[in-house]
Amino acid sequence: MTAIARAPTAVVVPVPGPVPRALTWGRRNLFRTPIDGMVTIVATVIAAYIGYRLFQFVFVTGRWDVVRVNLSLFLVGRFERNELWRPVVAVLAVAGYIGVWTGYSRTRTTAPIPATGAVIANPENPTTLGGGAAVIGAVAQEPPPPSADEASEVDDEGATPVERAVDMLGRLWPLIAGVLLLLSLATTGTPWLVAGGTVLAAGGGYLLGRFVPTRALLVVATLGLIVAAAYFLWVDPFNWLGVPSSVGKALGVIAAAAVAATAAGLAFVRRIPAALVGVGLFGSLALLILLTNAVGWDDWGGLMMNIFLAVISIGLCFPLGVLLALGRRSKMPLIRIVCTAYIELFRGVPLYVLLLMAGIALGFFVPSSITPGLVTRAIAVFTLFTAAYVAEIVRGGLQSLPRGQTEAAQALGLSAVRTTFFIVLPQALRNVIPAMVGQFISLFKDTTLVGGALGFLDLLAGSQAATRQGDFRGQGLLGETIPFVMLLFWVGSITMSRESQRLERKLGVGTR
Amino acid sequence: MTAPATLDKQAGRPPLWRDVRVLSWTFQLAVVGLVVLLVSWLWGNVQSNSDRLNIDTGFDFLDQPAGFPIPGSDFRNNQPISDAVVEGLLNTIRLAAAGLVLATLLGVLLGIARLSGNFLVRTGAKFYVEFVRNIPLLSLLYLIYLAVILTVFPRPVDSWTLEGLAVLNVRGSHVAWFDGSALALIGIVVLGMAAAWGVGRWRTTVAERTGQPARTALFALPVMALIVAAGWLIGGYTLNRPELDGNRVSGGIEMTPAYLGALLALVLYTSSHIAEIVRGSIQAVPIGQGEAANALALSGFQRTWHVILPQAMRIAIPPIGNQYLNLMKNSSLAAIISYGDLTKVTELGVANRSPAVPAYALTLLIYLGVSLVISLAVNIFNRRLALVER
Repeated sequence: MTAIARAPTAVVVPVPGPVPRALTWGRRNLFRTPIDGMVTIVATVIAAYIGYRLFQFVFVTGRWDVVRVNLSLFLVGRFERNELWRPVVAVLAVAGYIGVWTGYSRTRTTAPIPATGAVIANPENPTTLGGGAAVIGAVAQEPPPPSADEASEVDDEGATPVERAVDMLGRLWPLIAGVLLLLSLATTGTPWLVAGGTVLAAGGGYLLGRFVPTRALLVVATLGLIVAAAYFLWVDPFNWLGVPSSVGKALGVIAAAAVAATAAGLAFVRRIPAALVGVGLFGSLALLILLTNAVGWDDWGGLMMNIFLAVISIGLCFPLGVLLALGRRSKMPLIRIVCTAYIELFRGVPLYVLLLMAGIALGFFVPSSITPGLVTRAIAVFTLFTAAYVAEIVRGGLQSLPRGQTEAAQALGLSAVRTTFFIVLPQALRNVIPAMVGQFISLFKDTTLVGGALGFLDLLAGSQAATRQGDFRGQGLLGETIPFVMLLFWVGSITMSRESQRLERKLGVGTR
Repeated sequence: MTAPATLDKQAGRPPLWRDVRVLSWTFQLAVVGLVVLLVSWLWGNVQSNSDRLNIDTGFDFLDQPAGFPIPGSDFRNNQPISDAVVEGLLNTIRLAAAGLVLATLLGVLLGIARLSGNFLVRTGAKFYVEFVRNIPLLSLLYLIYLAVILTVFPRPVDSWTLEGLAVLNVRGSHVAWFDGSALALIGIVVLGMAAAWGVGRWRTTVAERTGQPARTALFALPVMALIVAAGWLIGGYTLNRPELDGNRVSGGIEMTPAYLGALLALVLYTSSHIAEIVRGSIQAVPIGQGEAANALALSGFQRTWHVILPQAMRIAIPPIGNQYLNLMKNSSLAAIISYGDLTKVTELGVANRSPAVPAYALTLLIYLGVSLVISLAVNIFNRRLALVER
């Protein structure tokens, strides 16, 4: 009987009567039991003390001049100051591109289309119900969109602009706060101009994507690419890599022409998303050439270098990782052994040692005529290392997929390649978005190792270099510069992680 | 339904270029051939480059005198490099093992705090976890080592003392430790744990037979404490407290500033990751389990200890094992602040004319071996905990 008598204590008894909500909340969350109350009092004292010290540090005792004066060192390192227009153009172009995608996907996806080529009988979407033919048709007509913006935005359809702005603020507040912090530290007007230009480019791109007919949009993009091709014909894009000038020019022009033609062709047959992806792929190549032409990439530094290393390595390791995962799951024993050995080898060793080795011992593994630059070495290590982790994540996604999906695809007569790329991979990758983004975040954070291992002046190394020069030498200012750098990395990581959670919700992972 | 089979027979085997088995093996052999070609090309380059520069590619360098000291160790210059590698590995293990234990304790605590009913505790833990998880480990290491330990810690004369338990200063930190054989003490503790486990089994049997409350902890913990205390007394162990004497600190166990910095950074960083895993695993236990425990009128402790945690642990073990691996691999970052771990020893060795390729290959192999040992241990533990399906 004692057991039954004890039972009600475990149930939260609703407080009757007109008790203020704050009081109820406080009683539940702060003073549930006497011990809880004591914890609350102690925690309040500690929190108040920490808050007070933090406030003191940020607004009174902190000597932030070192950050203010060295802001450009933190952001771009020793990048040639006369060539800074290149990264600025790159930032504007990326902002405009994202704007176009957002604007495009807001208007053009009112009718929900299957986000992946999954063989499912979806009762809410009659187009996929008509048996195999309809499914194959859907797969053939609408290749899986590579960007999440394509997925239906039904959830916030019909929101007023103000609501949307508030929503945006809640979503991106760390990023916005970080940018505002940087702007508040700026001593010249240039950062303000760049930030304003970025907002304008994103807004312009949004309007373009939303209100201009898609054909016209694609014509503009194609024209831009042709201009880029002409530019590559004029400059010598790869000379800093040691490629002969004629080969470099030819490569640039052929790539530009091919992708421009593909984009135009896809636009003509109304594969707008595919065309936009083509423009994006080629655009990033064009930006890479723009950024490195005449500057190379060995003198980069600061936050720019961390972002650049992360972006390039992510772009390269992702396909390699997917291939390795497919290989590890393959029915062919030799392929499986090779892939498994690669993955386990790279997952078992520290990245830092690999980077050290790349700095010292990589020269031994290539013919003596080639001496790869340090950035090239770093990218190679990051790519090879992260690919092993990506492979394990993708393998998890592949294993989570019901066998029925593959069997259904086979029953419909899809070839092995089509089954893999249109049925299996889109679903498997969707399931592992959070883990994948987590891996990319840790890659972004790991780019700080290049400072210690290869002697780059990246953002973190800059935090020490700043305290060692001029008037700031020997004043113990690391207590200011390192937290500032931490904050910048935090902004980058938390933004990626929050956006991945949002993407996950939008794609309905785990809910269907 | 025999039609397909008949058709098959009539058609016989398909021609070679459409035979799946032939195609598959051709493809596999081609890939393996490419891999072999790549590896032999790389190895050929190593050979020719080493010959050109007159560098050895074997492991003979291990027997030569090192010619460099290891920071924070009594390793002598004229000992062979193989001794230096062993010392480096031991330093890595010292750092990783201590980090592993502390990170687990702090991480589990934070993970539970993240789910506390108390708003302040919950929010504080959230702030901590969300901040530390999203910054680079190296920045934390620099902050703790360069900006705190080397800047804020006092000179030896003004050491911070913690009533005979610890003495902290910029030259090194001393913590109270015991005198006597560590291995024997571990043996005694293991013995005590085994005895406690036996008592627990006995109490469970009694509880199942009689229906009386098991009260496992009430019986087992005193047994264990008794055995450990008896071992401590019989073994003649004494507590060695650090004492400040002017400029010098005597007694206790010394931690170099680099060790303390690396340990703190690793523990803080890894614990934030473990906390997220613990929180996620507890939340992943179906809510009905807790409700069922409430309905059975289990106390809060019983509900957590007997119902929620065993199921959460099952989910949490593999990812926490991954974090252990990460911690071990991340301990190589301590080399940046000159802690004499395996990585630092290799760096020093290569700087002192050890051949780079074999030296780094050996280091990678050792790390790989330690990784395999850790993942093996986690796998065994995981298999013991795994759900036995009917």
